[in-house]
Amino acid sequence: MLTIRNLSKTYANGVKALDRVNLDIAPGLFGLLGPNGAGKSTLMRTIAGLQNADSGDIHFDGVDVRHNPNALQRRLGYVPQSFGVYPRFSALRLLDHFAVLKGVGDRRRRREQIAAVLAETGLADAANRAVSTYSGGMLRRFGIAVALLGDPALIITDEPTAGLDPEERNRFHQLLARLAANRVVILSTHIVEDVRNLCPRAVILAAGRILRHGTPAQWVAELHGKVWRKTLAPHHASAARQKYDLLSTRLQEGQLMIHVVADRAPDDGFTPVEPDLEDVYFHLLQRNDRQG
Amino acid sequence: MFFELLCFEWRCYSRRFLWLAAAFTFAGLGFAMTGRVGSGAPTLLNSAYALIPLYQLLTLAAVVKIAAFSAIAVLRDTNHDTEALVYSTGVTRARFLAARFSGLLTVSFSVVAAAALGIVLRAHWPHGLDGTFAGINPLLHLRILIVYVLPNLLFIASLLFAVALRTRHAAATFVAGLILYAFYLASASLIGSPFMTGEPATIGPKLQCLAALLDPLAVTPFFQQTESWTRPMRDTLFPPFSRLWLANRTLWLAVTALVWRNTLRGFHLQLPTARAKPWRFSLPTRTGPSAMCADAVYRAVQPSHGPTQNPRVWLACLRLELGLLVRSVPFWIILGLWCALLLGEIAPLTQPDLFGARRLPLTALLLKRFQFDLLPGFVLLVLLFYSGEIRWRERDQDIDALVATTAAGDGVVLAAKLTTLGLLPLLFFAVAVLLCVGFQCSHGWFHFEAKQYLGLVLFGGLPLVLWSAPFWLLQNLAPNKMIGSLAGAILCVLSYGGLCGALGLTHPLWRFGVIPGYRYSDMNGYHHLIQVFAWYSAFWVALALAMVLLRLGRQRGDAAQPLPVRLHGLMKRPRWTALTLSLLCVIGLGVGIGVQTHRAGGNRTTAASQQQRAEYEHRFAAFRHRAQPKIQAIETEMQLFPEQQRYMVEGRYQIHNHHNQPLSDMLVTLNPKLTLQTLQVAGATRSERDSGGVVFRFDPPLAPGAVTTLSFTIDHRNHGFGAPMPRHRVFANGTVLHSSGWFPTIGYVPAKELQSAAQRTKQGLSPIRTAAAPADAKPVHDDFIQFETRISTSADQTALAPGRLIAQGGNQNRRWFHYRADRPIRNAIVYLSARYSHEKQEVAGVQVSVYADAARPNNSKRLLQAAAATLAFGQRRFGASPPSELRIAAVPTLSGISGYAAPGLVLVGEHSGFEAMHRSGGAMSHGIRRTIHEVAHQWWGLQVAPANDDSGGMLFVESLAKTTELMLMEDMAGSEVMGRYLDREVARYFRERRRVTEPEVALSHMAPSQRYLTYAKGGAAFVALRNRLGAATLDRALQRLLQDHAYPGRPPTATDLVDLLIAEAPRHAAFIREWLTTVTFYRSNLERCELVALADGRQRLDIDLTLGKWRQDEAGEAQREAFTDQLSWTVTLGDGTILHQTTRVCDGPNRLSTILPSRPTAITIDAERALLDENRTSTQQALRAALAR
Ligand SMILES: Nc1ncnc2c1ncn2[C@@H]1O[C@H](COP(=O)(O)OP(=O)(O)OP(=O)(O)O)[C@@H](O)[C@H]1O
Ligand SMILES: [Mg+2]
Repeated sequence: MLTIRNLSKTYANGVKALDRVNLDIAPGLFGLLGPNGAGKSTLMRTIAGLQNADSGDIHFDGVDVRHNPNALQRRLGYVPQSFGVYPRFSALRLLDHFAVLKGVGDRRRRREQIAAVLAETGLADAANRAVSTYSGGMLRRFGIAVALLGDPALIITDEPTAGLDPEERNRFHQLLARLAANRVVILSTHIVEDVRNLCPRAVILAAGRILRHGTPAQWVAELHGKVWRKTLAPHHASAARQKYDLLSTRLQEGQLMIHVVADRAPDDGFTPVEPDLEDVYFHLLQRNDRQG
Repeated sequence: MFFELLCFEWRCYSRRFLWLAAAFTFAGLGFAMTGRVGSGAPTLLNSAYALIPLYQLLTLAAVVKIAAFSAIAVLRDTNHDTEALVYSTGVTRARFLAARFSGLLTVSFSVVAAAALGIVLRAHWPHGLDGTFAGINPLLHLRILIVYVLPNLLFIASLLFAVALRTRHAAATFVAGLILYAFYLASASLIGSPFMTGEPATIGPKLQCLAALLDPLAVTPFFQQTESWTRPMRDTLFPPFSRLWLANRTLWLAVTALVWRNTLRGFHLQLPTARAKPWRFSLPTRTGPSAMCADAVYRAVQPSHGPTQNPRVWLACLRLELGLLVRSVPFWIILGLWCALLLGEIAPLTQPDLFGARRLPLTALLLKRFQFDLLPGFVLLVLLFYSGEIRWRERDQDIDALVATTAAGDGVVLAAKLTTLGLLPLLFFAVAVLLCVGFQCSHGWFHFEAKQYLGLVLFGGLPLVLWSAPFWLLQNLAPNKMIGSLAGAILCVLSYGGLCGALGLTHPLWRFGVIPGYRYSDMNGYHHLIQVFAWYSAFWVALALAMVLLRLGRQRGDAAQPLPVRLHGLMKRPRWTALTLSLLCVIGLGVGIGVQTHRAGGNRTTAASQQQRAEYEHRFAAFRHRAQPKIQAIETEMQLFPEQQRYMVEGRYQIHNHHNQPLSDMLVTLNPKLTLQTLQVAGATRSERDSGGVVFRFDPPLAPGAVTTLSFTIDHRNHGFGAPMPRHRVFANGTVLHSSGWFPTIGYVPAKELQSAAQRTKQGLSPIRTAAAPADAKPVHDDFIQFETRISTSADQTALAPGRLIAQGGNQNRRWFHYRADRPIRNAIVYLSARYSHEKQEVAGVQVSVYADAARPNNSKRLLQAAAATLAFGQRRFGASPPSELRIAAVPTLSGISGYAAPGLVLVGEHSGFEAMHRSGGAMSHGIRRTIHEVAHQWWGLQVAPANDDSGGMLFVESLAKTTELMLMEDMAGSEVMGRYLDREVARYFRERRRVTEPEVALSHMAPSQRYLTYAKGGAAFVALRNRLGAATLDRALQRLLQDHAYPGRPPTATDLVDLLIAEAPRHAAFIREWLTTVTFYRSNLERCELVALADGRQRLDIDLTLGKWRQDEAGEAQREAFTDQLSWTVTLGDGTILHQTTRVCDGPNRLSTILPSRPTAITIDAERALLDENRTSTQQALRAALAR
C-alpha cells in the first residue's frame, strides 16, 4: 500500500510541479493520466527517491520513503521516461550488473531471472547485442527488463509504452496485468485508452493537482447521458467553437465531429452518445482550466 | 545570417563560467610567467624576444583549453542529443562548420589575448624580477598575437575541432591534444630547448632542421633563429621571418589544410552511425540466447541485502568501470602514448656516448629518467581526465535514474568508482615497470631490482593514488565536468607547478601529495625517506579520507542546485564521526609535522633566508677588510651513527695570528642551518652573536704570532624534515659530511651576501661593488692546514677522511679510523662512511684505492686504473708528489655530488662513474674522464691554490685539471676522440658566451662561475699551447709553476702563469697572450674544395677558405682584426698516411693547395687547434661533404 500525503514540489525556476497531492494506492494497476507537464514524472521521481519533495509524506507498506528511500528502493522497479545505457555493453552483461546492484546475489538464480525477463520483454534474440545500438522501443523494453529484476513490490513505469509497437505494447500490458496481481504497479501515460483498458483505478493529474481519482468506469458512468455529438463540415469549426462550449473536436472521415457536455441537447442535430474516458478527461481538464 | 550564427556561438561560450575562468587563468598565467620563461638570455622583460616565447608557451597551455572548447563547439549537440534537431534545420554544412569553427577560434583567441592584460599589468606591478621593462607597446602585443599566436591557434583548433567532429568523443579530442604536446616535446628535446632543463644537445644541421619542422608551435625555429642574437638585438628587434620558421609555418599550414580537407570530406550533417559496437572479445557466452528457453517464465527472486551484498556490488561496479575503461579506444591510445613517451625517455640511456661507452641499464638509472617528472605529470593528467569521466559517467550516459533506484548503497558505488580511479595510477606504474624490465631484458641485463620497483610504486605511487580524492571532491562540487577538471588542474599547478611557492606558501603541507625529499639512491635506497614518508603520507591519507567522506553521497538530481545548497548537502550526509576523526588526524599529523620541521630548523622560507643573509651583511660587513687570524690546524673527533642519521663531532681549530699586529676581535661565521652545542675560543669572550656569526673579543689582544684554540661540538640528527643540507648529511649508507660552509669559519664570508640586485634593494643593501680585488689578493696560502681526525662509525661501514690512515680498530658495534695528513693540506675536508668494498694498487709510492658501494662494485677496476694512470701521468709530467694515499670513493646521488676532489680523497657519484659499461676496446667514458679530472686536482687546486679565485684563479684549478683530463684522454682513447670531445666543449663555449649578461672576459680574469671559460675555453687554450709550444715546453712551465707556487710558496696569479710560459717559449709570446689575456676568436668558412686528377695519376687539392679574426675591445664589442698566422692542416690518404701541411693565412680569402699521391679520405683544417674557431665543426662537415662528392 502506497500512501502519499500533501506532497508538494516547486522547482527552482518557480514551476509548481506538485501541489498538495494525496493518494492511496493499493496493489493492482494504477494509472496516472495527465497532459504534458502535469507533474506525472515529478511525482514518480519523488516516489522513487530520486528527488526530494518540498513537503508532504510518502509511505510504502509503513516505511517512510522520504526519510528512508533505500528501504523502498530495495523493492522498487522503476522505468524512467527517458534513459541511456553504458556504451559497448550487451544487454546480458548490463542486466547481470543491475541484478547484482538489486541484490540478486545467487548466480544461478540471477541467470534464470535474466533469461526470463529477456524472454518477457522479447529481447532474447538481441541479448548479446550492445544495448546502445538498440532501437528506441528495444531500449524501452530493456528498461522494463531492468525494472523486473529482483522482487519489486512497487513498479513505477513512466510512459512505458511510448514507442512500443502494437504487439509489444499488448504483450507489455499483459505482463503488467500479471505483475499487478500482488504488487503496486503505477503506470503514467497520457494515452487515455491505456488507462481504460488496463487500470481498475486511476487519477487524473493536471498542473500538479489531482483532478479526479477513483475508477475510470465510474467516471464514465457519471457522464452518462450528458455528452452530445454533432457532425459538421470542417469549415464550420471556428463558428462552432464560438457558439458551443466544446468538449472536443475530432475528425472522422473528413467530417468534423464535435462533443459537447450538457444536461440537454444544446441545439439541433446533436445526438446523445455513450461517453468514453476521453470525454471524462477533457471534461475535467476543461473544468480545471475554467476554475484556474 | 552568418554573423548571427557567430553571435550565437559566442554567447554559447561567454555565458559559460568556463570561458571566464579560462580568460582569468590566462591573464594570471601571463602575469606569472612574464620575466620567468624564455631562453634565459638577458633582455628587456617585454621585448619581442622575451614576449614571443611567452606567447608561444601560452598557446601550448591553450591546447587543453581548446580541447575543452572544441568539445563544446562540436560535442554539445552529441551530449545534449540535439544533433537531429540541428542537422535538420536546413543549415548548410559549410555554414554550420564555419560558424562553429570561427566561434571556437574567436573564443580561443580571446582567451589567449587575455594574457596580454596580465603581462601589461605585470609591468606596472612592483615585480621584483631581475630585469627591466620597456614602455608598453600595445602594437607589439598585437603583432605577436597575429603573427605568432593566431596561426598556432588556427592549427590547434583545426586539429582538435576535426578530431572532435570525426570521433564525436571528448576523450579522443583530449588525446589529440596530448599528441600535439608529444610533437612539441620531441622537437624541444631535440634542440635542448631552453624551456626544458638538462644539457642542451648539440645536433647536426639535418636534425636541427627536423626539430624546427617538427614543432607544431614554431617555438624551436624561434630559438634557433635568435640563438646568436646579442643583447641590443634581443632588446629591439622583432625577428624577421627566417627560412626555417617559414618552412615550419608552411608545413603546419599544409597539415591544417589537409585536416580541413579531410574534415570537409568526411563530415556530413548526419547522425553518426558506426557508434558503439559491442566488445568483440568478451561477450558473455555462458548464458547465450540459445541457453534461454524462449518461454522462460518470469518469477520474482527475493533479493538479499545481507552482509555480502556490499562487497558484491563493489565488485560488480568495479568490474563495470574497468570494463568501460578497457573497452574505450582512447584508453588504449593514452596507454600507447604512455609507452611511447617512456621509451623515448629510457631508450637514450644505453646509447653509446661520445666515447662509445654505454651505461648499464641499472634500474635506478632507468627510473630516474621519468620517476620524478614525467611519471607524476602524466599520471596526474590522466587522473584528472578520468576523474571527470568516471564521476559524470552516469549523467553523461543518462543512466543515473536506473542506477540510483537499485538500492545499491551510495557509498559502495562511490567506493568502486574511487577504487577504479585509485587503480589507474597503479596501472600506469605497472606499465612503466614492465617496460623497464623488458628494456633491461632486451639489453641482456637480468638483475631486476624488485625492491626498487616496489619502492617506486609505494613512494611514488601512493601520493598519486591519493590525488584521486581531491579530484573527486572537486568534480562533485563543480556543476559540470569542465569546471571540475579546471579546478583540478589549478590544484595540480598549485601543488606541482611551484605556484604555491610563488604565493609564499613554502611549507610542503600546502602542496597536496608532496613528500619532501622524495629521491632515490642505490647506496642508500629510500632509507632517508622512510620517516618523512610515514608522517607525510599518513597526513595525506587522512586528508584524502576526509575529502572522500565529505562527499560520500551520490548525485541525486541535485547537480543543478546552487553551490551553497550542495555544500549544505555535503555537510548533512557524511558519516560525521568518521569525518571528524579523520579531520582530527589531519590536524594532529599536521601539527606533528610542523613541530618536527620547526625543530629541524626546516622550512625556512626564501624570504627568511634572504633576510638572514642581509642581516649577516648588515652586522658583520665591518669584518670584510679587518685583519683576522687563520686556522693552522684542525683536529676532530667524529662519531657517525648512520642508522640514526646522526653525527656528533668535537672539533678543535688551532688559530694563528699571522699578521704583524695584535688582533682584538675575531668573527666566527656559522651556518644558520646547523646548531652548535658549544663554541669556545681560549682567551676570548663572546661579544656579539646571531645565527649567522659570533664575534669573539680577545682580552688581551692576540699578539702577532700567537696561537689559540677554538673548540666546538655539534650533535646533529637529520630526519629529513629539515631544510635540505647539501653535501652535509648522514645517510644509512653513504654519508657525506662536507665541512666547509658548515663547520665554523673564521672571518667574513662574502659568498654569504645576497647577490641579486633586486633582492639587495629589497633588503636595503647597496648594490655589490664590483671593484675587483687585486690579482694577488692572497699573498700567502692561508687555507692550508694540519689535519687529524678520529672518526668512528657502525661496524659494517668504512669511514674515510683526508690524510693517511694511521690506525684503525673496533669491536662488534663500532669501528674507528684515525687519519692524519702528513703535511698541510687545503682546508676542504670531507668525511665519508658507507658499506664499501675496496680495491687497491700501488703507483710510484702512492697507495691508490677505490671504495665502491659493496652492493654494486661495478666499474671499480676501471676507475682504479684511471686513477693510477693519472697519478703516473702527473708525477711524470708535472713532478711534485701527490699525497701518499689517494682514495676514490663512491657517494650517493642524494649528496648532489658527481665529482669532487678533497686532499687525497676523491668523491665520485655512484651514478657518475661507477655504472658505466664499456664496449670492448673503449677505454674512456664520462665516468673515467671525471675521475681523471678529480685526481688531477690533487695537483691543480690542492697543491697550488690561486692568489685570486675571482680573477683568473681557475686557470690553476679547473683549466689545468681539464687539460690533464684532455691529455690523458688523448693517451688512452686517441687524439681523434679527444678532438671530438674538445670540439663539443668549444661549441659549448660559443653557445654560452652569447647567453651571458656580462661581456666575456679573458681567461686571465675569469671568475669561478664562468664555467664556459674555466672548463671549455681553458682546456682548449692549454691544448692549443701544447700543440704550438710543444708538450715538453708546456710541461716545463707547469713544473716551474709547481716548484715556485705550490704550498708553501707564493700563490700564483694569472700573470705569473703567462710570464712562466713566455719565459719557456719567448717566440710564442703573442700567441700565449692572445689565448690567455684576450678574448679572441676566429670564424672560418669553406668556399670551395676541389680535387683535380693530374695526368700522372696524382691529385691536386685546392681549398678556398675564408678566415676572419675578432677581438673583443674594452666596450665588450667584438671587432674584426687583420692577422697573419701559420695554419696547420692535415690530409689523410686511403692507406692511412697523414700528410701534415702548413700554410700562411691571413684575414679574408685563403687558398690551401697541395699535390697528393692518391685520393684523400679526410682533411682536417687547423689540426693543431691553434685558432678558437666558431665554425670549426661546420667547416669540417662541409669538407667531409665535399670529399664525399
Ligand atoms: N528539473 C526541472 N527543473 C525545472 N522545472 C522542471 C524540471 N522538471 C520538470 N519541470 C517542470 O515541472 C512541470 C512538471 O514536469 P513533469 O516532467 O513532471 O511533467 P510530466 O507530467 O511528466 O509531463 P510529460 O507528459 O510531458 O512527461 C513541467 O512544467 C516542467 O516544465
Ligand atoms: Mg513525464
